[in-house]
Amino acid sequence: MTSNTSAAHQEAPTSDTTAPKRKPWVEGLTSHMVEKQLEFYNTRVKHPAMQKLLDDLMPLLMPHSESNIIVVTGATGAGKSTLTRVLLKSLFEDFAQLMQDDPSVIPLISVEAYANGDTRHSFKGLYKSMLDQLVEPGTDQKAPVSLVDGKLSVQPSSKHSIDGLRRIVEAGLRERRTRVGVIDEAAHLLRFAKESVVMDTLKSLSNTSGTKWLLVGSFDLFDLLIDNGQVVRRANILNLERYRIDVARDRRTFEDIISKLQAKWPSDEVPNFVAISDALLEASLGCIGLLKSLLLDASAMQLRNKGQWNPEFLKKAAKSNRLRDVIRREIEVGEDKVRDALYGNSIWDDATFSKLVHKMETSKRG
Amino acid sequence: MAKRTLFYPQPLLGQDTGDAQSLRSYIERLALSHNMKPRGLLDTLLKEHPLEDLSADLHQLQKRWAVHGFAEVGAQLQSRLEAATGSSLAGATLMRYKGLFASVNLTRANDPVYCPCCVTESEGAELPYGRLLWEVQCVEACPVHRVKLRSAKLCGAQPEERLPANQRPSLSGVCIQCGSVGFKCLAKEPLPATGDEIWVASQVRRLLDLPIERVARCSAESLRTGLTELVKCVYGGSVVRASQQAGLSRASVYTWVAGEILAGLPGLLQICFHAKADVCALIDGVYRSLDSSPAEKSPPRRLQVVERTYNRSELNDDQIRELLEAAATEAEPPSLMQFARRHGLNVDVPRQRFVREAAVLAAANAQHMQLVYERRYVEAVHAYTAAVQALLRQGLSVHAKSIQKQSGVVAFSQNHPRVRALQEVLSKHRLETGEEKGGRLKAA
Repeated sequence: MTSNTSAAHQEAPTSDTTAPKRKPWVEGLTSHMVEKQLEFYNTRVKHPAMQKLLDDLMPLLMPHSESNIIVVTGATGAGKSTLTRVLLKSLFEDFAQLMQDDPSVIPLISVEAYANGDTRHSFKGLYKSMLDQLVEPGTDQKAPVSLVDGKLSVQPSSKHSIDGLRRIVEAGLRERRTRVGVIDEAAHLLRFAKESVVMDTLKSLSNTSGTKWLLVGSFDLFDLLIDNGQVVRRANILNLERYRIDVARDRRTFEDIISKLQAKWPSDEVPNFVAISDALLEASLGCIGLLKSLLLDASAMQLRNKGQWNPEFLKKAAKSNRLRDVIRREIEVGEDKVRDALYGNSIWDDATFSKLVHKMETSKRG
Repeated sequence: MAKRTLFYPQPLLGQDTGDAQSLRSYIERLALSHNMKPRGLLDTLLKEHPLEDLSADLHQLQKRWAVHGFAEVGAQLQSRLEAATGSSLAGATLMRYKGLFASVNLTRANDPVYCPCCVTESEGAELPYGRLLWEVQCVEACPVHRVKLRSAKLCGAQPEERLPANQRPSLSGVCIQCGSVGFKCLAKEPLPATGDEIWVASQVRRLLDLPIERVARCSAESLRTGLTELVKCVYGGSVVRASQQAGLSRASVYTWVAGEILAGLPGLLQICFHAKADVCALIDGVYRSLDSSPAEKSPPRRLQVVERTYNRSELNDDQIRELLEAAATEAEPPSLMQFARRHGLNVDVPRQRFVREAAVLAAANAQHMQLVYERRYVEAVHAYTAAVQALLRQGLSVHAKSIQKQSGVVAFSQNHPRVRALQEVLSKHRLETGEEKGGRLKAA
């Protein structure tokens, strides 16, 4: 057991009756404790697997790349949401100068394909989210026009239809020169319509507006791509890898990550998680998101115990064996599904590729 | 980070050229690209960027589009749109000429026109756009295609092909009634413009082509200097001669030269046409002869840029008296108004200066009109009586509407002999059949 050397901010419970009513989950905690817990919750660790994926991803998002649809998959709890946040921040910084120079440009939008149980209106919801992100003016006053046989006519009622909304979104993406559109929880798109319809829609949106679509979601996203050669030609799949117990380098990296999280531990009494990093790796299936959930739950229990650590907290916070098995099976099936389709897994195996490289380096030019 | 613009950054088409897009066309195209109607776009714009001290009636604004002249609403709308799009719209109105020309008779209102050739040339990916040039009231022709401008209210489509009111597009170069891009609904060939019309349009186009910075350097004073020089060089310094020969009122030319009021663009073009002067040089304060003027080949003449309700008559009093006496003896003597129009006179000239002759003509005209009305009455009675008999034969009800429909002769209030005839025939019919007004039979 180690102890934080930082000054302990012990606050006496206030008896002020005018103080706002506290939420039940923070009852018994000092404001300092709540603040520390929130800080721990917001801690993002940029780990090597994420960095590798970002390094692969950024060139694909450049305007000169022909990849229009990029799919980022990963196991549940692998850290996809954190990756999305980091990516958006990074892209925003890249586009900052462009946005500063031209106040009409919106180069980046990010939406979530939420499922509300109603298939028919899901695309509408997605389009409306995109219009919100595009700061589209007068959305209640839209009157899409159609040009047929050299005749222009206004179709005011079509603003409520999926086709009318799509045309409005296309115009917005084109005119605002949106380069990248991120759709989080993109596996929900599978519930909107058939796979081919979803991908044709995204392909058309990309063709008409020049926007690259980044779909972030579970392994099911692979099903969206695989039956459509047209889409596959301009698509790439990237996987956010988890850490493996049988790889020594992964074990070391995982230990580093635990060390970083431990440094942000919200209580003064800090348990030595680094010592049991292999066990934590196994418990969290090598997924950083799952590890974080485990530690968050354990820290909350410690805080409610007036900051006193009890090893039982760790046991309680870890997923039950049955649930962990469900997650493990799902991850393994998903990884098997996408393994041969991932970005960088070309037709050459390592031996063949080494020969190719040797030939390139030793042959004379011309 | 700078705030995002409200609308897409649409550039003004033809910026800094004589073919610059008008503000109306810009708003219409901006609305189209946002999948909105102009009304909705303006509504959204003014919510975000309200006009100062102006209660903008959007309905009236869109009906008249009086935004291209010197009205404050046009200037404010332009600046709000610039803020909302980030695009420069300085060339979309005539505001840069404020303080140089008078605002009267400057721009068209509620009567949009277009060049039938320009709107068909913009085919393909680009839809046609409206020029600021077409918004200038004295421009009647396209200087590029040398054809007359056409009213945008005309549609050549069959009634069943026309769009319902809520589906009609609002875009310059597109027929509002049937939606035809480039007005292809009108099959007839464009009318060739006269040389005078082309000259006027070319000069206005040259004015619009001037860089905004150069126009900003010009002032009412420089224009006055130019006009003074023009009068001096061409008319020997005589304002009277200048006004008479150019067909303008003396008061107008005098007040322009004296700097009392600003010159109107139509009047200025009229005097420039007669004097073969370059209007672009004139606003700089310099008189320069324009070699390419069509008037160069023909002797100086009048150009009717300024619309008048009457022409200047060159008749003397004796001639007018003789004409009045001759008119009174014609088979169909004209009214005093018709006589005045025929000879380019104000109606008060014969009425006040030739009282006796005018009275004789008026009496002759009244007698003639009495005969005309009587003849019309007899003809109408004959037609309505025949119609009543035909209706009775067919077993149809007889009333005012059916009689007019059967006879094909409409009795409208201005044609009182027909109204009188219809009442006469209906009364007679009711008397004969014992029917009351409204189709009920009288009690026995």
